[in-house]
Amino acid sequence: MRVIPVDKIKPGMVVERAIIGSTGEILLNRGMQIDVRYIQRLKDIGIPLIYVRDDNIGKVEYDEVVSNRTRLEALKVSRDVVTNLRLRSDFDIRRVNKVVDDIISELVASRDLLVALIDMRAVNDEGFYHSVNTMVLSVITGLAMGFNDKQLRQLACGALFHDIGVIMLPPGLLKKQTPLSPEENEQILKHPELGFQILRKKEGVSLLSAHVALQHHEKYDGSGYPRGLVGDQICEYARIVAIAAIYDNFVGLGSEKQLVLPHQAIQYLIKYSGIWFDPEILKVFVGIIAVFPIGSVVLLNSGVQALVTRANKKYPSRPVVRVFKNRMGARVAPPFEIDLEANPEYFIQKIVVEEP
Amino acid sequence: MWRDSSEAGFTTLCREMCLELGLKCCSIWLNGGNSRHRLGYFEAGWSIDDLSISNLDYEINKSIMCKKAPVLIKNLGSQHPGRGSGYSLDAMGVPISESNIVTGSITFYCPQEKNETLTEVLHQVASELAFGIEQCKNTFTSARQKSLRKEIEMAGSIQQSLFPKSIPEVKGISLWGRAMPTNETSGDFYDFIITRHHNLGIAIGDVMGKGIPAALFTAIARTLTRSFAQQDLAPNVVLSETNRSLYPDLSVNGMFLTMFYALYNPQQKALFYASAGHNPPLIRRGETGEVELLKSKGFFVGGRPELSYNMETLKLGSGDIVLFYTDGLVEAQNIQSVQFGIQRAAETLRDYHCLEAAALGDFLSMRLMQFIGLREQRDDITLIVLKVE
Repeated sequence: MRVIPVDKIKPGMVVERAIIGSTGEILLNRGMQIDVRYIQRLKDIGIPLIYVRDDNIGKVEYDEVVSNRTRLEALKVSRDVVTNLRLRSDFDIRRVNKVVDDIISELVASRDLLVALIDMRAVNDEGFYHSVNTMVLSVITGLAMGFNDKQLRQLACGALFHDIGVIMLPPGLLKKQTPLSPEENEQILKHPELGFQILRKKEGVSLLSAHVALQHHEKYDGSGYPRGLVGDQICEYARIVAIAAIYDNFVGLGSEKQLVLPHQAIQYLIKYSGIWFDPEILKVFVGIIAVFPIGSVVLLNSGVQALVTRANKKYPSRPVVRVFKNRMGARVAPPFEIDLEANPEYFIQKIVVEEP
Repeated sequence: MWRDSSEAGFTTLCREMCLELGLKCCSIWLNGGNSRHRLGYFEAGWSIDDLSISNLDYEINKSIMCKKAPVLIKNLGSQHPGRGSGYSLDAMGVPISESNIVTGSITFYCPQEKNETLTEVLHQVASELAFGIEQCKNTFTSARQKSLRKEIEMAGSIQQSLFPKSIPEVKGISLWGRAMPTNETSGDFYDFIITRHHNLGIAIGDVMGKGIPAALFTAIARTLTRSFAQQDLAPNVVLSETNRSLYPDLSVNGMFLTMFYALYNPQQKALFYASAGHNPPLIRRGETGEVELLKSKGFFVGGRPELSYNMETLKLGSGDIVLFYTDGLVEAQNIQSVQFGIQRAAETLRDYHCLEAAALGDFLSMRLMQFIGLREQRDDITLIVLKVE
């Protein structure tokens, strides 16, 4: 298994990791053989990269932190919530609670929780994919911070709906390609308040979750909106979601030409540690992201090329890698693995997104 | 340099040995500076879905090359319970060595109880191979060059063994160090010393010049520093004593070295340090995010017979990061002859300040190597990161 950019896909390749569309449908299932039509379709919806089988490198075990079934359900639920809010200004909280519980119990059950796979999302995401991802990242952070079940649920619900206020904005405003007028800007700045009002009134939604929607654009140094809260004045859940949402937006910016890799996104977040983000929470968050994702190709200082096959929670910069090309560029058959934690004389020199 | 064709040759050799001797698997490895390369591999009936032997192979060869002695691992099957019971194998490996320098290794995997007869054959093959590799390397060199090259390799391997083998665990901080030499031998040295009173001594130095002469002095300087440091001497005293001991030998040869020595006291969370003309380490303050230089004036070791140094004291706070380095870091050049410089080093500390010392060091190495790119690394580079939790 390895990651390849969409423009390198050739007909006949086999999908190794299912690709999920932004509204909760499976676009390509694991084990499917790709043909010309699929390639075009992937390009059309703007999937930047996919995981394919590679018989020269062999199998790689990986864990989706959340099962595809549950992720699909979460996407459907969030889409239905938005539809229902638009049509009748209400939604079914029981379905939301059910999927939140499912996600939490799956995450609690995973060992060594680490976000170790590269994000594959369509550019046409209407926000559902982002909401679900933000929820998953927030819950993993909450788990690492030792939250109990009740706290995790409140956090998850707040994270899933942190941007719910945008549905009250005029359609098309967020996607506008031309510069916004001052009035339009003003409107966008209202979405935290609008989201808060929706959630606050909804029976079964904790007020703390509603505050996530209200405060997710507050910044640690007080430069955020709507109220300019500082530090601990911002509720803890909102401080978590602010980090998770920006991280997810950042890795989601990638295109097939310019991928945003986890270590670049993390570097960006660290730059704003203590300015936008709570430094203590950010430290926890950085610990749940595998900086060298499974399936990416790296160049070691010995000149060989290797595939990342296992992430290392304790030493994120030292994964287990499988050497498949020697320093002369010839294939190593069979490949063999080096644990970079146990062999510190080797280090990763760079990530080779595209095999030369 | 080994080319593809020779690689195919080694694989053929492995296959022949497997078929002749009834082995399950055979591989040949060669040491290349700081890394190990597999030249040939043959495994009876291997498939891409079962890399268990291939993965294990790396570890066994590493252990042969580290211990410089043959290795026998009995009954691999029981150590890897995940695999089928019909898989009970013994692994045997011997170093390929010539005049006490280990240049590579051969590993065999064979069914149990077959190994006794094989050991002798294995040793023979290894010495034949060693001879062959020697011949190959010597084809175009004179006898004098031959012996010189051998000595350089020997010096390199001795020097490798002088770098800290493990990083000490010290309460309240994370620590990391890496030497990136350009050739077999390095003119840089570094050391972590746990002193008699459980303080941490950090030494980093750079001998003028490269090659064997420089490497010789790094070995002496390191040993001297270690013996002074262990007695918890103040850093300025460690430097002046080192200078007093080394001056006669250095001055005769017209050589000198720069060195920085720091003593970290975990109870006080304080760093005491002195510099002998060495590049000032960088410190990034956790509190303010400011990056400063740990400046301290001092003449390089070997400059005068008697030298005295100033000791500086620095209280460390939570999140503080100290980067010690040799000039190879700041003077590293890319293809446009732009230097990496102190600014990029400082930026890297800023960009990754949330991470622990090891991850910070890995990212600094990565950024540095990416910066150098296709340009050849010209000078030895040594890096140490200390981070207060």
